Amino acid sequence: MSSKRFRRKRSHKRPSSMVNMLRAIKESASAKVKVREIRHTYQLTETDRISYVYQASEDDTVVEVTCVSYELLVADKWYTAVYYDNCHGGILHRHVQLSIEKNLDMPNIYGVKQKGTSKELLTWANNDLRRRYPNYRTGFFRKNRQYIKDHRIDI
Amino acid sequence: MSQASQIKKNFELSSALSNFILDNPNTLKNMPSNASIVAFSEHDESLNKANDIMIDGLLSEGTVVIKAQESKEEKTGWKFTSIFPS
Repeated sequence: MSSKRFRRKRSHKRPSSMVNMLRAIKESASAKVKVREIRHTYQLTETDRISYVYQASEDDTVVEVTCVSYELLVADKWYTAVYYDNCHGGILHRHVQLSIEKNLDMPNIYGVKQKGTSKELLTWANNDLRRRYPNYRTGFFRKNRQYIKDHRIDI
Repeated sequence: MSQASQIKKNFELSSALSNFILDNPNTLKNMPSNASIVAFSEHDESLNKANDIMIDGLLSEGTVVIKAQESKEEKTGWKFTSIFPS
């Protein structure tokens, strides 16, 4: 006698307690954390400034470093010499401006702090700018020397 | 005061101020947005004088300025004043 005829069909229904638990997990995963963008600009001189843009949650926890930048005023226009962000995958990286004319920058992570909360990364970026801004400033004018010369820009 | 000296000193002050704001996020809630923050030292009068001149320039361009004065008399260590262009 074949056992197939008398094989009972298994019920595929999950217990209601498990259904409720799975629904709760799904709802919490899809619930989006409300964030707001915060911007500060610190003026250092008439031609130098630092800008901070970051995302913070409702309890003021920094959740993303959007942009921490050191900017220079050249011919009545502000240019970013260097900026930091951790928008993609949460890894902090540095963008160094290569060309004003073509608006090119080079991202890198050399010597950039990788581990830590977004607030720690934001503080690190702030301190790195404070220590190394002469290098970034010199590098910016060196990289764009020809453009500045061609346009007879006074710096 | 030379520009290099002003940058260096302002970098130190603004760094301390930004760390303070990160730790006390309620600080700027009542302040205008899209403003430039200029930090003033408690002791360095030459820096403050240079920053006063800088504020005049910012106001003439129509920029709203937040003056952050370092002050040990304040509980928070900083006193904030908003200045609007006329």
